[in-house]
Amino acid sequence: MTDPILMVRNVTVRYGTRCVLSDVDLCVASGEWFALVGPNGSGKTTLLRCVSGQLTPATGRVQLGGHSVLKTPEKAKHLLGYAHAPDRLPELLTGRQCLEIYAAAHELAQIPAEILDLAVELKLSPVLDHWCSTYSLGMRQKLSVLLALTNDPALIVLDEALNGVDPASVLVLKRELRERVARRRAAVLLATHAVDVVLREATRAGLLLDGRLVKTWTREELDCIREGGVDALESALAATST
Amino acid sequence: MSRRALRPGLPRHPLMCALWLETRNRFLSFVGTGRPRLSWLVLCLGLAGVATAVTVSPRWLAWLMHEASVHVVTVSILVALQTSLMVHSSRRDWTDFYRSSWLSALPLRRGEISRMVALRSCLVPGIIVLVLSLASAIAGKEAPGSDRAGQVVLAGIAIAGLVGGLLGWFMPHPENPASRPPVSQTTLRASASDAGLASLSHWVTSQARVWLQPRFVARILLPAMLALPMDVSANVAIALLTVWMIAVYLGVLLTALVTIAGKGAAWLRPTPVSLTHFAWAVARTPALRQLQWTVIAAVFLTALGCSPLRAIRAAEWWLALVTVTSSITITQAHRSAAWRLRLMASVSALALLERVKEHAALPGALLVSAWHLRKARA
Repeated sequence: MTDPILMVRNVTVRYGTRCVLSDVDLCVASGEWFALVGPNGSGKTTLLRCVSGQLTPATGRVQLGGHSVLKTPEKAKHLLGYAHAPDRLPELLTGRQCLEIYAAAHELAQIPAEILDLAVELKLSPVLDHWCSTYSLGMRQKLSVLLALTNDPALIVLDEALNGVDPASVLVLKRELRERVARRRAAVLLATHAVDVVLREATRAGLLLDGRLVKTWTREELDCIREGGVDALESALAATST
Repeated sequence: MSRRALRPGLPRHPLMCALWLETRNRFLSFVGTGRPRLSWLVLCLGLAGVATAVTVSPRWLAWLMHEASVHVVTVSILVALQTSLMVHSSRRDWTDFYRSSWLSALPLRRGEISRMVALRSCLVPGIIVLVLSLASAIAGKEAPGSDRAGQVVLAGIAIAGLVGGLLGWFMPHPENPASRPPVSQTTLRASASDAGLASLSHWVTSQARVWLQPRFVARILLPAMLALPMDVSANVAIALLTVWMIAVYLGVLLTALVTIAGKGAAWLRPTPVSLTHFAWAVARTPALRQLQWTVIAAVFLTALGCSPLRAIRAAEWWLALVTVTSSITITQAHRSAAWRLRLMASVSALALLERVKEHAALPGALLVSAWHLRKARA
């Protein structure tokens, strides 16, 4: 693997006495789309929160582009685009104000034109000047992804970001992410339950089970699974889980 | 490239900009949209309150300052304790907020976040200390001969506020939210074995226990301990503090019932659960606890020298309030209707009834509750 943009080493997280992540190692390279799958409560969101610096692991380290997320968060987060959960968006700001604040924090003079174009494609532009409290779940998801893409990040982290989004917009978002991965060598780390996204889009996938990364699949292995039929990945996941 | 303002007139710092825009939008949501008549009513009432306070305050402020100057050490300790607790809990809450909010993924220096946390943690205690200092200054000016008392209290409050704020800021707290023990685990486990709607009843008591965390209890108990007269015996002091804690517990239990009645009704509205079952499930355990602890409080009051009749009357009045509040909030929440005005009217009526005829509040409350339940069922 060349040029790893994300490096997670021996990360362990505990909530009280409960161990949620245990010695997780993960590397994601530039130009790679890594899908993180696993049952509910297996630690996917916790891992992504460690990557974004929201959670301090009990042990281990997380580096983005060679910068520690905990020791030099400013440098590391310049490379990061993280789509927050929809309920984290501020109720009393408009979508445009959120985008403006993100642009200013990333030292941009204004909201990038491509983000506004993407908002048009996602049919979000008519409500950009409305307060987030009036948005539906899908609209909030779209705004979260737009915020994550504002700074043209080297690593895009999405936590089930396509849930609740209408099929037409999912197509637009997948095309946009594909293009960023292929053309700009961005990396995507996506936690998802959407099997079709894993099989069609991911270049690698990993199964998180009880806080441990128990298996990873390469693109070739994913292609083999896809040839096995519609339920092949679910069967593979079930087989690995038991 | 360095950061620049999004638009002229907006702060350049992203966190400050977000705070400014949210505050402005909150104000606009209050005056611009929604219910403008209510907004103007609240504004007028606020202005009338300020005018009344300015007119009436100098006289009682002077009296208050005189009392405070006699107990200046106690007042200073109280201010320092409250300030430190407020700053400490605010610092923890705001640190958690900036760690996990939608702004957490922004590339900001640690110092920028710390400054914002400091600003937001010290804002409310700072305003309170400022108001107290201003009040003591006004009292010192207005009341002849109380200059010295005002200055002493002013200095005491200012120094205590500063020391308390610094103590609260530097008091150690766990950096990582993940390392904190979950608050509600034990209380939820206690109710897990109950079947059916009975769990609703335990939801109220669990909520009260969650609210009565050690931090909250300490904050409630400390002022009471400091307010104890110096010449009372240890037994009396313990009895007084016990009555105070029981009163706090009963108040928290009633608040929890009102909260859970709303939440539970909203949750169960799509199900065919009847009002009778819902009301019984929500209210039975809290009602029993209210009865037990009110009796215990009345016994303590009697032991402290209060006449039995007065203690019984206080207990009756409290139980009447609990009965009427529980019945109105539960029935109205079940119908998804407003309850505050109805409750205020009922309580006023009960107060009037009690004034006309002693010991009539509790039977009156039972009648009002029965009427509400019957009306809601119909």
